[in-house]
Amino acid sequence: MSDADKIMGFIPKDQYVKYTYYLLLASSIGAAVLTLLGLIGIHIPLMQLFGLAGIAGLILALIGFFIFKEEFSALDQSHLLYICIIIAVFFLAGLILGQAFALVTYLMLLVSLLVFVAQLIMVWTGYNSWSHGRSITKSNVKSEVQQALKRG
Amino acid sequence: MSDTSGDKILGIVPKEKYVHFTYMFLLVSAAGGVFFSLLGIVGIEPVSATYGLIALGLLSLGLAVVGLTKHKADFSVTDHAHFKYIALLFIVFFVINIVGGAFYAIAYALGYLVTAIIGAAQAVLVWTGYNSWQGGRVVTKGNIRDEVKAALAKR
Repeated sequence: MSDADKIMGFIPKDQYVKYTYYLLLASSIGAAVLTLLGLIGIHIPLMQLFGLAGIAGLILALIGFFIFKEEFSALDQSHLLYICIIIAVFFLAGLILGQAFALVTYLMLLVSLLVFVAQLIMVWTGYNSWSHGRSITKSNVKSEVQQALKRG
Repeated sequence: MSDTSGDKILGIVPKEKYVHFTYMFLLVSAAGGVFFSLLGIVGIEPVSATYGLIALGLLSLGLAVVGLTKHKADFSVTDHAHFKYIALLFIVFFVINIVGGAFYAIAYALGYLVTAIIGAAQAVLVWTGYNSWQGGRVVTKGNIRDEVKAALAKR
């Protein structure tokens, strides 16, 4: 096989789309399996590796479609474009999901903080009430909280 | 106060300081909870210290229960009311934290599930593209459904 039959001097032209698909298949199957394992509490630190395979696949698709477009048949060009679209769509979906996930985590931390603050106020109220020789009942809890916060 | 064991609860805690200590343990536990929640928001999670706070809270609950049961006669009616208040606070916030924790765990699991579904969809579409390319066909808006079916059937 001559160099003219190779893209970038080392990838056989007729195998270029196949290798691009293999990289993306490895990346997407690996990411799906790792996520499923994460769901049952098993965390394997290989996500970066699969991410790298995905990026390599994207780069091959972009280079193939934009730089070596003339080297490929209409069929290959169509598949390189299909790959670019799939990656763009799922990158966007991942970005949106990641943001939503981060937002939920942040909101939960905020709710936890509010609960802990409420707990601290109620304990402080109890201590303040006890140190003044009073008891806390349903009827006086509001005024006890107010007095404790004033003292604080 | 004389140093006789009669003035001490459980042989070590001075009777007049008993409620004070019980509240102090709970206050440190609750204040620590607020502090660690703030740290959590900026991404710092001191897990082992959190267990220490839980231990302090449990110690406080233990002291309140002992004060209400075994040594009930040693304390005034006001002290009894405060022991009950401490136990009630502990139970209420324990339940709130359990419910909140469960909600968070469900949200976390759902996030993973959606990620896994999106990952699976991506894998199916990549496989569809590869299968279509192997068959010498093009994936278009019009035939993508049939291509997915053909790819899954080939599986």
